[in-house]
Amino acid sequence: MSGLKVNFSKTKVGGIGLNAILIKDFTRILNCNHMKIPFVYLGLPIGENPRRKIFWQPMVDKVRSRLSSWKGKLISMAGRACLIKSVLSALPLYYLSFFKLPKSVCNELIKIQRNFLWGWGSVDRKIAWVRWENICKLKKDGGLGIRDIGNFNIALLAKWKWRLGIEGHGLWKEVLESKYGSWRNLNETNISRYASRWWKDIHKVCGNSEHGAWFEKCIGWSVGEGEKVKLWEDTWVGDESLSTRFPRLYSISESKERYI
Amino acid sequence: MEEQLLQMICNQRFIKGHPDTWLWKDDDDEVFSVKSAYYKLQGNFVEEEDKVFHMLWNTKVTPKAQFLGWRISLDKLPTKDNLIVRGVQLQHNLCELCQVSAESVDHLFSSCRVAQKVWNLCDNWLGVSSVHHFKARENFKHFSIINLNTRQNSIWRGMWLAIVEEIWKHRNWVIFKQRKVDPDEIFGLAQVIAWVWMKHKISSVNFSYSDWVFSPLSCLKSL
Repeated sequence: MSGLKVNFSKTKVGGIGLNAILIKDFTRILNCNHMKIPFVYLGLPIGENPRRKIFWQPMVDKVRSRLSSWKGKLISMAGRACLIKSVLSALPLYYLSFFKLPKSVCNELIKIQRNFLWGWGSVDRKIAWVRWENICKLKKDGGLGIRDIGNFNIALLAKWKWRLGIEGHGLWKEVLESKYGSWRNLNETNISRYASRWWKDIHKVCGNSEHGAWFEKCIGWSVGEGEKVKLWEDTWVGDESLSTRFPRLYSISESKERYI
Repeated sequence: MEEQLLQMICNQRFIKGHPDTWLWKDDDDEVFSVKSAYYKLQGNFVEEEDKVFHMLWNTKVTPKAQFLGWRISLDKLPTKDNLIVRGVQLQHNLCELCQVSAESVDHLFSSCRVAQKVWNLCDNWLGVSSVHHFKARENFKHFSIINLNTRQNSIWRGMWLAIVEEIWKHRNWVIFKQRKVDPDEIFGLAQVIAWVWMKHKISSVNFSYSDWVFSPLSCLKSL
């Protein structure tokens, strides 16, 4: 043992769905503080609504101050593009790997980057010569290789679904599975309205939703014992599910939901 | 239909003793990565057939010069024709170097009489004669020397960027500083900066500036 001790004056106790008086008792017994929601855990604000603009304000302000126009005036366009890349790959990543960026904030961040790249000052407006989506192309395709922050956010969030599908253990996974069943819940067209905002956002970006279908198209199965794959509904042989390929056989099947 | 189904199932490989897992089809090692997911979302772009951008970013010059080359290739430079399209009021649309034709990227860097003069100086320097394309982007693509290898040619393309950077600089001097334009000066300065770039970007450069000016080909071959 390292001799590490818990510092109770720095510790907070909080409860979810518990009586406030009970928690007061706990704090008295343990001699520590009462934690209220929202709070910050591992640097992420928990319990605040990430769909509201105000949630993102600190991050937007930080990006804005790093990409402020007086800095841009001193360097060439090449330097500005480089600075944009470094600021974006460092600052907001941690947030973006967990929360879905609302469209309005996404646009605001792109605006900051665009204005910085083309050297806008506070008063003088300049011409943005190249469309942002072309800037975001790879260098060999005629862009500058600056990441599109919206799509990057989605790619980061999709990792949660991948981990949910493939990783062995983890408390976070057990919690989610006890609440929603499994990743299969994300492949339903409609998910429960009691699902958390986070789960709904994951569903939106990589579940069975208008913009989420790309994920399933990239997923294939490596079938082993066949305990997880649904015979009819999963795409485990060929490019489509057997139910799409053989609809008539599927319609007379008595065990549509069965696993291999 | 049943046979077809059975056939498909029989052809499928099952890995005994392993749990079922997902494969990420978009990546070579079949494991999800944020990068491959991102590229999937960005969509597949048609690859440039002529590799002009590949050539451009492979040059050994300052990023600033590469960015100028990038904007020339895309025709996104504030030349007069582009400014007029975007609603900027100008006194006239004539090229400031020759005062004869309308200014555009292709004119300024290729077909303008001043630019032609500079490219000819470059040809004389090498002791070759070549036909210059009237499109600036094509001009860049074909800016190579037959008996140099790929690497040496991509270094040689730095000279192209040096020349266009000097042309652009002089064009701006004429407009904003009322300077006179002189093709010999443009070419001379381009020789200097091309050498400085090589000296700083390539460790194997061991020739002096005067070597470079007197025998550019043997300098390039030594790299």
